[in-house]
Amino acid sequence: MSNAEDGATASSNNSTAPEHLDAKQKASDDGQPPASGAQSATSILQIILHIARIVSWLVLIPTGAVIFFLTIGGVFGGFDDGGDVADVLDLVRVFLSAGLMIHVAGILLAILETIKQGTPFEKENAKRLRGIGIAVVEVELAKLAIGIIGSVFLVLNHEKSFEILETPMPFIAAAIAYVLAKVFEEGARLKEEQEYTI
Amino acid sequence: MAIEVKLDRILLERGMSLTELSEKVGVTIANLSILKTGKAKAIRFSTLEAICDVLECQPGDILVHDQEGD
Repeated sequence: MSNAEDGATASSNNSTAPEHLDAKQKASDDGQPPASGAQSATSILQIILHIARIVSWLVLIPTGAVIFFLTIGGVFGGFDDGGDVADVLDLVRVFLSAGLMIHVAGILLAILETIKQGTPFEKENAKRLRGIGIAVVEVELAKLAIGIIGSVFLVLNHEKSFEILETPMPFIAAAIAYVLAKVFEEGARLKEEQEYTI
Repeated sequence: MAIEVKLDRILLERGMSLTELSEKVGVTIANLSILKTGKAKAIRFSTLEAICDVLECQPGDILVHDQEGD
């Protein structure tokens, strides 16, 4: 779009915001999505994430309760065998995974909301994506630590083996989230530059 | 920034207001204000050409490189 066209279409208020921002704001105010196809895909994804969050809560709460009672029972009554400890540790890993899912789904919903508004390339979204990467790494490291502790404990007690690392995929997902965060950061920078190009 | 925008001075010399320039160039006052206050990140050749046409000046009259501003 040329400048003349820009000038013709932009609002003539006295604010110092670039006209591109005005146009974007206008689009948001009108409630018009940037692309209807993308909009419907975003809506479907939002529904899936909401369902994932609900399911994760439904897993998290009973798992937390079972962990609590098993631990209390184990501490005061004594664990029957190493298998009980392994079960508790497995449940802790499930608990952590469910918590991570709730956290990540919440962040993804916030990102999708900005996509719906037509402003995905924001610095905030880069921070959110980096937050996902950090959360995944933290939880996976915690699960890894649980795996190591569980293995050492069970091996020392000559019990069944315990899986240290379930899958390395979350670490790959964290790396992807980090790369995406960098892409969004660059996108936000380019968008700002474009908005302040007269 | 090392590049200074001297739009104010040129406008004063030509006795033209920002509103008038905005109408003649076809750029919003908001955008011209961004340019005038030095907040702009870049300027298109087409915008620069239009401003120079209206103000009958050279790009160098509007944009000045400040060596000490680096």
